[in-house]
Amino acid sequence: MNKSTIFLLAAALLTGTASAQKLVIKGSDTLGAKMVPQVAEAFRAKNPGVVFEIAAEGSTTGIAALTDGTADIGMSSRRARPTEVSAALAKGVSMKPIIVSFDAMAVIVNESNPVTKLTLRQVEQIFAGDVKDWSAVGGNAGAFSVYTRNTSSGTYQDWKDLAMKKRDYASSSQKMAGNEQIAAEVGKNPSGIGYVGIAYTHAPGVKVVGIVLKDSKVVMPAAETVHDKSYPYARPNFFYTNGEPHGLAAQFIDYLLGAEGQDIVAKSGFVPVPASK
Amino acid sequence: MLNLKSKLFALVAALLCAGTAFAQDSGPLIDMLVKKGLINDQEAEDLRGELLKDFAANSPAGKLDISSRVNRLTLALDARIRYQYDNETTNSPGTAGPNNDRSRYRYRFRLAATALLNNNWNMGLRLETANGATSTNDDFGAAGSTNFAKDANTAFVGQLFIGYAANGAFIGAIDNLDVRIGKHAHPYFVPGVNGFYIDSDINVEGLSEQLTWFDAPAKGWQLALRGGQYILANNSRTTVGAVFTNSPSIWWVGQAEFSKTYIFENNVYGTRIAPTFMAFTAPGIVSGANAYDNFGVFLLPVEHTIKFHNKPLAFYATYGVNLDGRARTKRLYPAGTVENSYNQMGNAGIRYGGARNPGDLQLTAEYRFIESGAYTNFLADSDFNAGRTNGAGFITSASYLFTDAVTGTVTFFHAENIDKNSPAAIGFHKANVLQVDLSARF
Repeated sequence: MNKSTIFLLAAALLTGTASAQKLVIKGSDTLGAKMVPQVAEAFRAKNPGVVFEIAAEGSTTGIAALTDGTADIGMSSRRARPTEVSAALAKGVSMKPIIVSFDAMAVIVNESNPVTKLTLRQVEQIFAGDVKDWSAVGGNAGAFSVYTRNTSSGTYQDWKDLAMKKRDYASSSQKMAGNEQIAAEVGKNPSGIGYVGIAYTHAPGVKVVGIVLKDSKVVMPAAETVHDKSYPYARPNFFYTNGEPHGLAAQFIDYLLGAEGQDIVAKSGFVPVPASK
Repeated sequence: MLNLKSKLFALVAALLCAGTAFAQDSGPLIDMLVKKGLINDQEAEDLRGELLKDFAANSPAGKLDISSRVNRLTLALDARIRYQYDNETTNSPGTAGPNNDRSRYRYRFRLAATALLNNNWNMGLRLETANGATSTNDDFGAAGSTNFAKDANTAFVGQLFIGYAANGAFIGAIDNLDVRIGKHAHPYFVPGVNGFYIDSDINVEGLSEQLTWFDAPAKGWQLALRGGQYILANNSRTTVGAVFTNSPSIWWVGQAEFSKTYIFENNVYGTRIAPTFMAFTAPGIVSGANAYDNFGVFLLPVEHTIKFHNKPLAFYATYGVNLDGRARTKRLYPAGTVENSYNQMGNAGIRYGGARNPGDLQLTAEYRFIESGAYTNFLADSDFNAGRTNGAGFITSASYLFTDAVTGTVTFFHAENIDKNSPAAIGFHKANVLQVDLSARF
């Protein structure tokens, strides 16, 4: 996983201005790799006195940092676990979840593959190893090459929860470091199948398959199907704060959830939060 | 006036706050409300967050962090406080043994964690007091330094195993497969107080397999084939000239149990019969009184339980014979002093009452005997005749369940020599043991 730590220092700090405000954001590499730094950059353009410290080392580290008081905002691509909430409460931290974007995971196959759609059950069977050959799901004969994220990724567990009824992956599945690697392998392998965030569905050589719901309706990963809850493999992304956000953190979150911030979210390959009804 | 959405939100919050267990199951309900547009994603997340805080603050489960690899984790503890009176008189007149006239104040605990893992695997760990193979007892007042010190009170690894248990294994050819490797409880049918021919405190070390078929060999019956290969010494070897040769020392057990049983009010009724064979291959271990040589024992344990005044009444027995018992007997006695083969063993008992439900009273009476060359004292129940061979006598026991967790038990063992002219180390002139136990478990 990308464990880059990005320090964006405002010009005011570089010039030694003592009045600079600092916002520490730690957590998910999914959010912190690209989306949040871009939003921070845009926010800083309007608020030059602000200093950002963004550390993207995984959702767990973000929740831990918020609990320890070493971050103002914890980024997480998953919900906090009960033990994390109880640990935070023990330290007087009341974790407040704020949805900042959605992530839809698309099932991709090689563009030469004749299969265009799969049922929920077939997706579960393929990734769990119940079926071994493409001919079992309407494809050309040939064994599946199943690509997954590696075990340290939060997405690895999320996919089990969302698509596999919490079952284990097929023992033959191949673990990849990230979305790019899965898309690249599927693009090269006519028998390949994997899952990636929708930002990576335009990689060369791959195509997205539709998901056949129980009512036989076929859905594709898109902002509309995420918002109307019809796409089954979508998950919210979170900022966690200690209680209701206030001060600089509140200003930044307001900006992120505003029109400009959500525009950046969409351009980063994530699904924006729908406007409140 | 509240609008529909506010009412629904308040209703859901009130319902969910009614119980932390319910709160953990609330996800699908919240998802449905979002899907129907009654609340938005952020409102749903606020609700989840509040429920999670409530769960984390008020439920013990919210404070446990158990790996997602675990499907079920079982923690179990049993504790026992025991008064024991020993009166064992040796075969050598005028020689007093350590347990000649002795009161003992004892305790034990067994703390076990067993986890069911994904894909039919399991694992377990159990800590126990005492390091002996056939006892888990520690003694009060046994500390070496000062009164009430703890320097002799230690926990040991009693069990550590990895297992695989699956229904319909090998494409349905086996109805149930249960394999376990490591240090674990044995899987064999052994009727009798404390495990007659395998002491109930023994944790075998090696591999156990059990293959079960239902409705076999006839409808309503069940066939379980069990096998065991257990390590006796970790560095067994023999020497040929100056060369050491790896010679694994193994205790082999095979058992086929035929049973037709049913359960009523937590008690098992019906018939069980389980022909068993066991032997040692221990070329690297020196022979002695506790020897592995000349040992090929066939056993036939049976039990039949009927309902009598709505309580289980069980009749059980075991007959055993060491197929190489004559040679074993001759080896244990001084040359030319024995002609009898002394190769047989057995027990027969009756047990009335259950031991599952609060208020259950269970009474047991059993006769048993083990001839000198029939068996080995490192497997036999250590409470009867101190586990030695060349003993015959009876056991009486009464236990009462004060609650489903707390039991009181009184047991008396009496044994005497079968062959009164045996060497001093084989059996006792007389061995009496009284045990009064208070046990609690969860």
